[in-house]
Amino acid sequence: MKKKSLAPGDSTVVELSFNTKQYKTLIKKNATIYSNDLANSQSKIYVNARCYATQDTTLPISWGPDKINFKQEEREFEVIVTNKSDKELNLVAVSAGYDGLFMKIKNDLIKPGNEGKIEFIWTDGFQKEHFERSITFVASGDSETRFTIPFVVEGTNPTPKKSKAKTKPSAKNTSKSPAVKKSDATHDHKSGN
Amino acid sequence: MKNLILTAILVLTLAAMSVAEPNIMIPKQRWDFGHAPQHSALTHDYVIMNTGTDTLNIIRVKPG
Repeated sequence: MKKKSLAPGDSTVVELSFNTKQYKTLIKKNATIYSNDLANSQSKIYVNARCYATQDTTLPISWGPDKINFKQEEREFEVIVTNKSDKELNLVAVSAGYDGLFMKIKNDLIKPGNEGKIEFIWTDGFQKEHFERSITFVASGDSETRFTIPFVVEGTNPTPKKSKAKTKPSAKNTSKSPAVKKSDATHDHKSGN
Repeated sequence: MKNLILTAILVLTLAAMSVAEPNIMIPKQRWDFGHAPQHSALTHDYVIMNTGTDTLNIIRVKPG
């Protein structure tokens, strides 16, 4: 949340993040926003997702890759969306973009049997900690197919490795090793609309 | 004098009726991610507006 206090007429955004884990079905989640609006002190927001391990082959489209992992040495990706139906499909992004992410749909009207392409380029720098976001698309023809492509922007912090060094017990060295603190995984990336 | 008192009462009553209050408005409370792969973080930004006349304080956001 960017701001916790809003003057009259002001607005902010609350980001809801949801991990699909190993779910294989329709998942519904919600969150409650508590505020000092006495008439509406608890407001709910809802999300749902159809999680899959492998894409549903009965859908009118297929797409891939279905996840993106931006690295310093790999900043550009192209997602191919294939129209498997016998109707022309219109492909659009329905969620807001993010600062640092350039995204372009190269062929938004996809004829039957043809492919559309979505280009993703990470134009921003890489922060210490990795962070994850997602973009939702809709392919519409006679019916609508909605899908979300999650993306990860890798952090520059190297993954901590377990020390393999062994020290021989010594009479002089009786002090205990300091506990290893896990790095604070806060995501200070600012998303924009 | 009587008219003056009545006017004062009327003004005070109107002032009391127009107490400033915050008003939370969330234009779109539901988001559908559609099909999404396993083991991924999905994110969505919800816009929160204050359409009231006083400061709106968001006290906390609790996942359900």
